[in-house]
Amino acid sequence: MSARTIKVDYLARVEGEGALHIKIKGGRVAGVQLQIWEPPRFFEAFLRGRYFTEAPDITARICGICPVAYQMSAVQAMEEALKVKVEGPLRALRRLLYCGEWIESHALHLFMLHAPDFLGYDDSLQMAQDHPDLVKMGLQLKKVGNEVVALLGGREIHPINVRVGGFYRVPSQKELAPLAERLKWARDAARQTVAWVAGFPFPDYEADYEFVALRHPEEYPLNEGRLVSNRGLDIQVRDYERHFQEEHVPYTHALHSTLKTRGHGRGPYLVGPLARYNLNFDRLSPLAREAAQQTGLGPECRNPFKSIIIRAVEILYAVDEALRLIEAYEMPAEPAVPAAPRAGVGYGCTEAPRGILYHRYHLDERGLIQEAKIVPPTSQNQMSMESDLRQFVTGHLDLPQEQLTWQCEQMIRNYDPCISCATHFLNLHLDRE
Amino acid sequence: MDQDDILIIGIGNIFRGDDAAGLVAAGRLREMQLPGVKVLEIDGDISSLAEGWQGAHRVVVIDAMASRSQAGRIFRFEAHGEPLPRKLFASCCTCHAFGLAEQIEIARSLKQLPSSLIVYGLEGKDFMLGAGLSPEVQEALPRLVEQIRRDLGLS
Repeated sequence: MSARTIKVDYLARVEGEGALHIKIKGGRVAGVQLQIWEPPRFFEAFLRGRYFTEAPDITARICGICPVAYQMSAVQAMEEALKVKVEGPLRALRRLLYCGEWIESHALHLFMLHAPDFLGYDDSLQMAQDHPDLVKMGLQLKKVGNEVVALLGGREIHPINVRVGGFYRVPSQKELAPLAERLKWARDAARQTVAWVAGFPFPDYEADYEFVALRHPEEYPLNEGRLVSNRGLDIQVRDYERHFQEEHVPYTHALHSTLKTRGHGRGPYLVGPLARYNLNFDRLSPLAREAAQQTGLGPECRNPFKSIIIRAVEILYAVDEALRLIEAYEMPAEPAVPAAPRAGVGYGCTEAPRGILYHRYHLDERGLIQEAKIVPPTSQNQMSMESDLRQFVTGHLDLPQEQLTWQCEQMIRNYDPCISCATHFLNLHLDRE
Repeated sequence: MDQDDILIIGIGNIFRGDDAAGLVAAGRLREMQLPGVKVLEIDGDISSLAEGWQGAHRVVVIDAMASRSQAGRIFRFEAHGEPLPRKLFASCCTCHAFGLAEQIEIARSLKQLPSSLIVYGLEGKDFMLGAGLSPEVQEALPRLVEQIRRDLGLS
């Protein structure tokens, strides 16, 4: 009986540390384990006893790539608990800030971490030698995203300008004008990016996912909406924990999330660009939708390797949306609406670049946090990653070891896993017995 | 910036013990108000490093190192001539494993290196969150600053 191990001792181009073991026995996949061994970071515990105003800045520290997502979910939850409504230009500015994060996060992943997989390079350094103009374009796109975050957030990483009720300071129309010029360049670059990545060779693979994303009546989802799936889930954010559950699995430090499925117990689900796109294709701006269609992509896509095209489409969308928001912007009289402490529970869920990010806070009458719960997207995708690998390896057992290992790593990078959020990873082992 | 100016870039994280060494050294050089010297401090995303030195011909980068050599040891590399030894500049604390060595090599591929790029590394001891500078690094900092001044012909 032939035995095989797929092993990669250090999986590069993901954020954080961990390992992956795949065991193949007698021509069958005997086991797939995604092991995240970064130590847990106890954010939920040390939020207890802190004042409600501190949550956006404390939780932003969970991730250096997507701090805005943490701030947005935190303020949304706090504002619900305190019965504060943030509307009009303040809401628009938050959306603009979030667009900046999508642009920088997606550009980093697409150009520097994921594209080398498709072009046969070990890393972006090698890629830069053969494709300097593309790497320059990617770095410039990332920079435009950083500039949006820096202007609205005060600095590009762990921004410090977001507060419960709005912002500490809001920009004038004049301050936003130079950003619009940069975004116009980015719009052309993003269109080129969509066309470029659509020409990559994609492994033949599709999966029958349950996609979960936010859905808003008018907008492509960023910071508001109901939670929906392609299998009938349609709930308010406050009902999240009635449907989704986190559990400890012995081999990993990150909690596994599952979704209650009708009649089948609990199962994996997928969050992130692929899920958003499949559930919200009709909410893309015409420009982004056309760019997707021109590549031959329809409203449905079940090949996770093609998530790189969808990230490019989402960069284009975020740039287009940022320009729309800047054009319509009128500086508000006040940078924030007042938020007074009161006892209550608040729920927040927004679309981080990697998928839905859920927060819940219980506050006492002084506004002190009594309990906090945070569910990041990468931990929600863990089971899907494992089931994708199981299915992919089963269908590609005839591939030479090196190629199969490469494509398994590529599969993981399809998810753009952010392990510092989930708690962190990645070494890869593929065992054949 | 003026072509003849010298740009000093300090890199680090003030919340991670000796990782702050590059920032502290750059800060001290800034306080000296040396003629023709500009100082840039980067405490986060170093992917914009090449943007930072755009237009500058003489650049000095100062960063902490974790190479398991003696704490407080000073290293000097002429990065315009050859790549930094990647192992010496740990990328464990940076996003998606892009450390200083990688950033410099990407800039080299993109032909964005200044004609003179000197990298100073100061070996750290303690990179714990919330820790201050170790005594070894504190003791080495004045030597490092003096060496950089001499190197630039400014002492």
